[in-house]
Amino acid sequence: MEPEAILAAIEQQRDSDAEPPPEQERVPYLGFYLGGDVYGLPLEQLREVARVSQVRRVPGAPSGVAGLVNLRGEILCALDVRAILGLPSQTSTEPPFLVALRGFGDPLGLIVDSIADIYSVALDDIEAPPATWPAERAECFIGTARVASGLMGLLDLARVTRV
Amino acid sequence: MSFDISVFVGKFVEEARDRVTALGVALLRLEQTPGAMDAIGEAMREAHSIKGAAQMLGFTDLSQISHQLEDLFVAARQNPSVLDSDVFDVVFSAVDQMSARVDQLARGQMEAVEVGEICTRLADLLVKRDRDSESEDKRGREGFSQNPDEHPSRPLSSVPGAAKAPELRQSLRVPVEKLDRLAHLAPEMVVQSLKAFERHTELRRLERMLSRLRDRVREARITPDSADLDRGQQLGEYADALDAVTRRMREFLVGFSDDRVRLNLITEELRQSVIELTMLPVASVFDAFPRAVRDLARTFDKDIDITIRGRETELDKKIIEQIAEPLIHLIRNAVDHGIETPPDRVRIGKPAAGQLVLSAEQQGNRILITLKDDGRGIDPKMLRAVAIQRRVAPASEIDRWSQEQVFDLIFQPGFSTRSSATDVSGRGVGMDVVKSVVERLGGAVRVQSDLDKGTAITLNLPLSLALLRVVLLEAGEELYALPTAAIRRILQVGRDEIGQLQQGAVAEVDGEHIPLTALSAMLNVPAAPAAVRQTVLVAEGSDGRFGILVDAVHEEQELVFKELRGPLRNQKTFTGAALLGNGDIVPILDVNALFDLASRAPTAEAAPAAQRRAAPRVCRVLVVDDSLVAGELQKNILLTAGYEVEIAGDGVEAMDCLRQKEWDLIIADVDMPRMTGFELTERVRADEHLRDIPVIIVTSRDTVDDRRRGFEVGADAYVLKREFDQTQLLDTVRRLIGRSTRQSTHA
Repeated sequence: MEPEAILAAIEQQRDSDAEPPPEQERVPYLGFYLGGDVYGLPLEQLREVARVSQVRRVPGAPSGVAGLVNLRGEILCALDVRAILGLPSQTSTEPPFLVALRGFGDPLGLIVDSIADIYSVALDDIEAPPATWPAERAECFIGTARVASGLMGLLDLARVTRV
Repeated sequence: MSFDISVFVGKFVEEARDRVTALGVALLRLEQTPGAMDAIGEAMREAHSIKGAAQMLGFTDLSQISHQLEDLFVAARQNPSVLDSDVFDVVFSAVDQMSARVDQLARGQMEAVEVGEICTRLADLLVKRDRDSESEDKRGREGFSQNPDEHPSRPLSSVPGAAKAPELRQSLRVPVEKLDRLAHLAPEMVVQSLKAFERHTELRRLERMLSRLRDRVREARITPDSADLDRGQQLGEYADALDAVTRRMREFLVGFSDDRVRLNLITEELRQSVIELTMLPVASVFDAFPRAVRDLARTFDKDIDITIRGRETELDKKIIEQIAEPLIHLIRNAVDHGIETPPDRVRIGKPAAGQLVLSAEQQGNRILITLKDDGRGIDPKMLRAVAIQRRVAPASEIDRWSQEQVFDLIFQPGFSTRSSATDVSGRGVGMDVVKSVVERLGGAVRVQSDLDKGTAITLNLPLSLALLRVVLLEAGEELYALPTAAIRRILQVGRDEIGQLQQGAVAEVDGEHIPLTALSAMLNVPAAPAAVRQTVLVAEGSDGRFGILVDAVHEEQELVFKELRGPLRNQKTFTGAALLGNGDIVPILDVNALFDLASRAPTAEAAPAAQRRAAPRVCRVLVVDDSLVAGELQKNILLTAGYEVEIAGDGVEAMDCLRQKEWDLIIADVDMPRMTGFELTERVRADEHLRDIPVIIVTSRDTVDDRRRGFEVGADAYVLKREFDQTQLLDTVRRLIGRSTRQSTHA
């Protein structure tokens, strides 16, 4: 999915913010890929999505920090979600995406492989992370939801950003 | 939905701080010039405004105090003798309480505090005056109540003799984040302008191709084979067309080039303007000092006049915020140690009142802040003697030192008289901290002193933190920036010139052996294969000079400094980052952190195993606390920071531990069974083998007497439990251990 489409979706979401919530509580999530698996974060915590050509490594930084990214003149601290979740490091040669977050005080972003789609998740459909996940990994999720591209892990951003 | 005042508290706090300061300034003027009507008017206006805002937000405590103050000033306007010199202590104490309350609000403490006592004292001042000069005052009061124009709710129009007309503030309060956002845009403009330059180059290439094509076509037309006239004519037309296109292309290029130059100029101007937005006059800190000097002079029984010059000089807001504490320390030093007591001064023929001059001036892109006193000055002989006694360097070397080098001794951690309570304290600042704060801001400190004539200390600061002069370095195929201010020399050193001493690789620079460490080793990044000639930067941090081997040195640049935030806030190696013209990010190294890394990283050229700096002994800390929880908490913090830690339950147990092993630092609680922390410190100081071990007192007791007692028995720092935070403790530990290991090198 292209950044333009995502931006359009965000705009739509912002516009609909003013409207009363629908009967059944559904929350829009941005789905993204790390390897073959899909993960999600609430759209309202998303600032923008951009393709990054360069992540500047910072020697001595915590392992969850991928480095610094120049997002149109602003320097963002980009988090390495793979490292935080304990996943193997990326092998793809495609330039990754930066998911810039909002609402965290400091300018932060997540480095992800690619963007999947925007999914509307009904709160009632959220289930606990599978028991097979290691505990330290399961801690980073508020739960999982079944979507078209598989089981989507819903990130607990407050936990993930506490590197 | 109820009215949410929290949004306004921040604004109120900001404004109230300004107003309370202004009130203090007016009062000080009033104390110096009794009956100054404009000062009374100003004090009244400030009190009134605070009252109004406080009432609106329901801060009854603040509104009550300011109400009482306002009443007092209203009365004083009618009868200035209301404000006799002896009432000022009460009035200042009221101002202090207001200021303290505003600080509480800033921290989110909303519940009202008890202000009954101060209000009664303020009200008593009025009653007393009423009795003292009833008739006169009564006239004033009657006049006041009969004339609605003089009602305090319209104070601006009612102050007789007020020097200024109501001042319309031509300014706006803007949250810093908004300015930061603006600041982000400026470098983006620079990048855009660079892109435009690239496109310009591409256009010129196209233009050249076009004109070559035109020439070819012309050539083709005039070839001897003119059999095909039509073809020739056609080619001629093409050539003309091409010529026209080329000409228009050239015109376009000229115009575009002009546009680009203008865009560059505007971009630069925008960048400058953005920087100016974050500049504040130094008055915002200087104005608090006359009051501080007055209080300090009272405390130390001195008579001191302070003169302030250049208070309108502008400086980066972030610098201003950070220099306030160092300046207060310098002032306290001048009042306490510099200026003599009035009898002493008179005896040596000086005026009884000491003169303190605080000035700020701009020189180029630097700001010089100087504090000058006419006190006893610094005695270089005494400093040399102490330096020799403390074995800072061999006596023969110290004898050769210049006066400037000798004066620099006062900035060594813990150098100044240990017995003094103004030395190192848990949260306070010593001269070493003054120096390190100034250096962290990219500045320098200079001391001038004439014995018996006085001392002048000058802080040389950059105008703006936003712009930082740096040298770009290369290590592990990546660029890093080091502030130019930290760099003393840049040299090319041949491999054969790198010597091996016991402590690792060194190079001789200006007759001095400088230890060398590769930047790649400090940062743990891959190193480039060593070349025959290597580039060495000689850097100077607050702990000394050292050499940094880099793969290459690129140019010096002025960069827009940005703080590192989020999870990178806590790392020490980099102070910030900046964007280069091409949009690349370059992290900015902190020279003092590098110094620490250099002490730990293996030095260049495979340092020998017996190297002291490469494998420092783990520092051992003894925590003495009878509370298990407090002890364990401190132990954990220190263990995480890489220290070896043991806990002793009281002073007696601590003395046992101290005799069994070698220790680098003691952290002691005060109240403990059998032997208190004070007694323990006293014993350690009296013990021949233990006396050099630094002692930090950690306690919940916060009285001036306790602090003084702590320093009297010889503690090096005093940390309050309620201020207890990890960074502060670790900073203090690091400072003291650094000091003691350094001393031991010379032992």
